[in-house]
Amino acid sequence: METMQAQRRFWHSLPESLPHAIGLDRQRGEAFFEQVASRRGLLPSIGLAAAVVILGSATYGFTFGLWRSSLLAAYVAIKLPALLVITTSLVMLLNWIVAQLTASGLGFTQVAALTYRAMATASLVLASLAPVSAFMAVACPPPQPNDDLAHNVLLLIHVAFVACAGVYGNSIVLRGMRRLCRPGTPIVRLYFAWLASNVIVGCQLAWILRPFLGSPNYPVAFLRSDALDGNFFEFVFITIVWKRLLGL
Amino acid sequence: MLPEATTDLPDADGGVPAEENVLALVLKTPRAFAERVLHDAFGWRASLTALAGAVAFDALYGVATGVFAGGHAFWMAALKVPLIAIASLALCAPSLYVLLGLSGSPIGLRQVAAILSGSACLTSMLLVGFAPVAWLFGVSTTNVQFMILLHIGVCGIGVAYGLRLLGTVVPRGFSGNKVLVVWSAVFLLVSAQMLTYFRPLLADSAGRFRDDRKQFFFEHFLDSMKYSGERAVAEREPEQSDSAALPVEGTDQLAALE
Repeated sequence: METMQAQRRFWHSLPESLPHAIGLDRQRGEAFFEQVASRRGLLPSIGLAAAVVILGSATYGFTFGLWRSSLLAAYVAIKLPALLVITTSLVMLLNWIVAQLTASGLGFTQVAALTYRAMATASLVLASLAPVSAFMAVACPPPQPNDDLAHNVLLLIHVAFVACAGVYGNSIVLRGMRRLCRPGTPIVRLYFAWLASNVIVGCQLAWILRPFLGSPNYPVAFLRSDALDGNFFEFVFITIVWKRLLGL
Repeated sequence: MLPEATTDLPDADGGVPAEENVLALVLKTPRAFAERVLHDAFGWRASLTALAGAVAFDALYGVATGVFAGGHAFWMAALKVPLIAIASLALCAPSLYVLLGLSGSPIGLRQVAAILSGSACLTSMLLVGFAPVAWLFGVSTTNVQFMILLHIGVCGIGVAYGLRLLGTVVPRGFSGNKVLVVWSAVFLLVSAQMLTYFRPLLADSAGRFRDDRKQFFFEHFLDSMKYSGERAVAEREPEQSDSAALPVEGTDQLAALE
């Protein structure tokens, strides 16, 4: 009965503001930080944030893979939520240890709540960009073997969208740290340590889970046969910077 | 500087008192429009009126654009211009709604619809103001590249005013809401690609509504700008007729002056 009433409240509040309805707007953000500070009822918040991450990133993921084929779109609708949830879960322990090292006073569930909220915000932004992404997939030049222009331009657009959403989502972590950490905590250093762990793990996991956009020179697959060969940073620094740009 | 608000706030049903005033409200008193939207007093009906106005004005500008190529382009451009504007706004509306909600601006779905329809309406009114200019150049020049730059300039002015209205309505405006800057960039990207999707606008495509070849907007723009060797369909040589052979009145006098 209570669930039904909560559902009804949710659908009534939807026309006013979706972010407000799911508690992700700035106004409710302040209440959320107070809740995190009191450490009460954090598990439902983390559960809701995880649900938003899965739904939001699945929506965007579908449009991400749509340019190459509808099969890849379905694959990416599974892989993008997996990427975000696994990355967030993998870095949680490290983030908590770093938080202890800097004497921030943040507990494990507090770190989890903050990290998942940032990811949920980023996923909601991505979901709102899904119509634009779908239009780009439909209106841009189709995949053609040996013609990388369309692939590279679309990849650039998606990287910009994901980066903007990520930066926006992580700004919430910084705001939360300023509210929640003990006085004297090196907040900026702690924030960049968390960000670095997210970027390093996220990039490598994205490398393993490729393809997302789907190069026209490779067949559509859920995972590449060489998924576990090499790594993202080796590819960027050796293949692109060292060999292609510097010609060494 | 925007003019001061001069209209009263609306009646209880949340609509603008006189529906015919919606267009005047957006054009003459943007601050009054902003106040209405912020008080959630610009109802769905008023938004639809503004949107209908935008479609009609965009269609008029489309007619003026189609004059250049003539033939089927005449009516096709009248359909395409409103389609490009409305489809671009529709695709970008969810991101504006979510970004404003996340950044703490107390804006609901109805208000987002009001903001977008108002901005579209103001943009289209500026476009229709430039329609006679577009028509004049459309009938008097044969240079496609010049016409492209002219329309880009006109649309740029219209969209700039539309975005300025958006910045007026949203609390803290562009300077206090960096998400609006990002959203505007996404909107311009979508509009440019939508324009390319519905091309051609300045050429007669022999009865086909749009070119099936897919291109990025920058590719299409660069192609169009360097495509000077072959003339557009509208630039074909005038058909020879009996009247063409007759001397134009006053030609002799001009020749005498030289």
